[in-house]
Amino acid sequence: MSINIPDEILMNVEKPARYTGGEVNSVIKKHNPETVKFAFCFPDVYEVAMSHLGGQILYSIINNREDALCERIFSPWIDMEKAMRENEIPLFSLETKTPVSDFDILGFTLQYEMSYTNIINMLDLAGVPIRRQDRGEETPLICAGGPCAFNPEPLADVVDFFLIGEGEEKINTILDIVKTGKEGGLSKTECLLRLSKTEGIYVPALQDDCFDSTGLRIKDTDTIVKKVLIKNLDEAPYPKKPIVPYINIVHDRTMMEIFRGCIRGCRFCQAGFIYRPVREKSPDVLLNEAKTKLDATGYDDISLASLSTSDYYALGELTDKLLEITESQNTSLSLPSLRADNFSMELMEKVQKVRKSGLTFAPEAGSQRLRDVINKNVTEEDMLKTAAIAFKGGWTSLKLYFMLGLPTETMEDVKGIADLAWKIKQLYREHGNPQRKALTLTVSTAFFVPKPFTPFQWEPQITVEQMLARQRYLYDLLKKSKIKYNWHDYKLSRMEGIISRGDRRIGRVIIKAWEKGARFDGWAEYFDYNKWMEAIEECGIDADEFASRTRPESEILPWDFIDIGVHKKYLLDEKHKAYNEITSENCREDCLACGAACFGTGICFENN
Amino acid sequence: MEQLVSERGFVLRIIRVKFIKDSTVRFISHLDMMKAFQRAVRRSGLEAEYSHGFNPQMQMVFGAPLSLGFTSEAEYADFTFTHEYEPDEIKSKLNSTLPDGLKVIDVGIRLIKTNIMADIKYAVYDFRLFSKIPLENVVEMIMTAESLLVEKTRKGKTKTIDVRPLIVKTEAKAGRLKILVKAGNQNNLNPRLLVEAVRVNIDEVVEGIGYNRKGQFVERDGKMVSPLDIVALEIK
Repeated sequence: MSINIPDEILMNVEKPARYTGGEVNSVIKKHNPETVKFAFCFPDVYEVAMSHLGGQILYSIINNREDALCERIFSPWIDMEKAMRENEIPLFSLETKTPVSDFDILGFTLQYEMSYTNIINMLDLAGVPIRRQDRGEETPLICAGGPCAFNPEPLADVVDFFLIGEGEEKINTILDIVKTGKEGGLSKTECLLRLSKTEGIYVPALQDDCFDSTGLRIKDTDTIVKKVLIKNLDEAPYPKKPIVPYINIVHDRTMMEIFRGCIRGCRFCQAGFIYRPVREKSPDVLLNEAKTKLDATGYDDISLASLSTSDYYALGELTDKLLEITESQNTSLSLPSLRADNFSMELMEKVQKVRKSGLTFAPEAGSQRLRDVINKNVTEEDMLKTAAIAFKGGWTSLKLYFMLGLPTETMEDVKGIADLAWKIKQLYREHGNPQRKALTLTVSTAFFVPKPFTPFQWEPQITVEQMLARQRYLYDLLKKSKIKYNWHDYKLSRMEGIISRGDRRIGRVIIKAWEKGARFDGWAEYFDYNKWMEAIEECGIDADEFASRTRPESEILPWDFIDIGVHKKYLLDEKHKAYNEITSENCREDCLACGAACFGTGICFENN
Repeated sequence: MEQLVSERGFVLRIIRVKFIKDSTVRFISHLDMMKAFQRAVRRSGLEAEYSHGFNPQMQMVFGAPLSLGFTSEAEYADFTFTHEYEPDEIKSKLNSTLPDGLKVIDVGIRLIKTNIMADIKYAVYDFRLFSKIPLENVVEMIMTAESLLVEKTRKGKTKTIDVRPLIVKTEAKAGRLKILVKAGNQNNLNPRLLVEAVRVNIDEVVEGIGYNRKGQFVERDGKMVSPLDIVALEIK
């Protein structure tokens, strides 16, 4: 069954092409009864969803199977949701306009906590009951994966099963099990039982007896779910024909993932721990991938994607070879996530040949002391040296990213942010060309949100009052120096702080907030803190217990049953080192035996 | 035939294509469609000329922009290539890489300097018109009116304009209205504005749907000529 969306609706919503599909390289398959139908669901608007590399990877793997198909389903923007509700149009897929409820599996990707109400909203728009206990045999299986799935409990009442780790490793196993289930007429419960025996899969229903009716844990579990990952990235599938959207999306270019994981181990960074160990792609494989993708898409911009581009082991070789292609094809190359320390003049010059974009440094903390605490191994000297080279080379725009509220932070550390920005400003007078063009210097701050599976998972988030005081202090300092300052909404950070280390009780808050109208919470113009505060109160939750409490090291954390390979003991050691202001070597310098070697691959085996 | 040569010494060939935009892509905006063409050219392997600035842009010019939601049987664009490709090769290569819904149906070599955007003078549209009074009467009232004033809002500014001088011909057939109107850079009439003018001046319940552009024309010696006519391509 295919839904017809009337022209009157499409004529009256913003960017109707968000809903019409038909993009180059999108795949339309016949809906045979025996075909396993997977809906890739991204709980945000089209432009964000289409910029997600993981979605394109899963899409191509599933559609390469003859016995399965994958279609895309994204959150309709507020205007479209209104029109759909008024006209009783259920949520539909972009490819064939099939109602979501006709699919066998809905797979949601959890990229950020503040998209959770959009998941609820999408299920509701699809006519699928929100809580798994209310869903019968005829509704699709709901699964979820992505970084936020590493703490699955806030969505445990909604999602049937979670995949912990890298989806492409187990997607085929999942499809096989669901296919067997379809063929053999297995019940959902039986399917879920089989799925639960697959490595990396967590089925919350099997743990229900460990919780009371409020979602509070009353019993320990002996279940351990170990994350899954791709062992060899060179052999991992990549989309040979990425979908090319018509409308401008956030990352409107060919994206090349050069490695997974990060050698650095910054203590606040979840990605730096959950994606361990570092696994790299070889330059030759990447070069082929670039050619294939450029030929298949016609993009005129190519970008390298990773957590820290400068740490790629063969960056020089790769960029040289890529530039050979791009320069002959009127294509530009961008290198995001460059570190301020080993950022070389040579590399900068190379990129500059094609297009000179703005520079971004993320020192994260304003003082060397605090940078040592968080293990951000970049020194002020490095940054000033790099900035000087950049200014001499003609760059005129620089952005600085910091976090406020990091563990042990004092006002002195906050002042350090303004001091560093001021020094950089002075540097431009010396090395830049202020007569020709003034420096555009921007300082941005976000509030630190403690995340599961980091050495700071036990840390309190600073209170709302502290957030405001530190922001105000920095604002005044930067105003005096006439430096542009952007800051994150403290309310949003506070909510993120509550949800990211939440448990099943927080799941009730999310549903309640949605009932009150919360959605698109990641979008400042739609985020409504009051709705959330009301939901928290009505659920009888103490927000401070989740966000601003120091968790004892002996406490059993809601995500402790998930095994990321990195030992909890290692995270604790790192926490203690942080308080002693001791930095840790990165994975390339020395192995600190974090535990990720248990996967038998990656950087853990390269240095010995 | 005189050869065109680029700054970089390439022999250039300017190609005019006529293409259709069908209902599957009717909600793709003019700018996004241009981008889709640019990417299709890049995928096709045809070598296009780029501007020589810091941010090289593919050399292409499109005819009068088509409103969102409209289909068209007669869209035009001029592309500059760095090879003397034969028109047929261009047609088949582009059609193998263009997205569904965009299809090149005719190709010619442009020798004159004037590009398609500057050259278009007229357009023909047809659409269904629902009205209280018979369509034939609507047509007659449009054609006999001395003026048809309507308010037009653009970028927050409202002004009153007379659309009557922009209408050359209208005819009614089987519930559809077919109109020949001025189009292009100087004088352009969007059929939606015409319908709005009818609503204000003639029949307040009138409603148009299924807008389709049937043709676009240039002017030579006071006559309407197809942009792919040899006269249009070679003689100013």
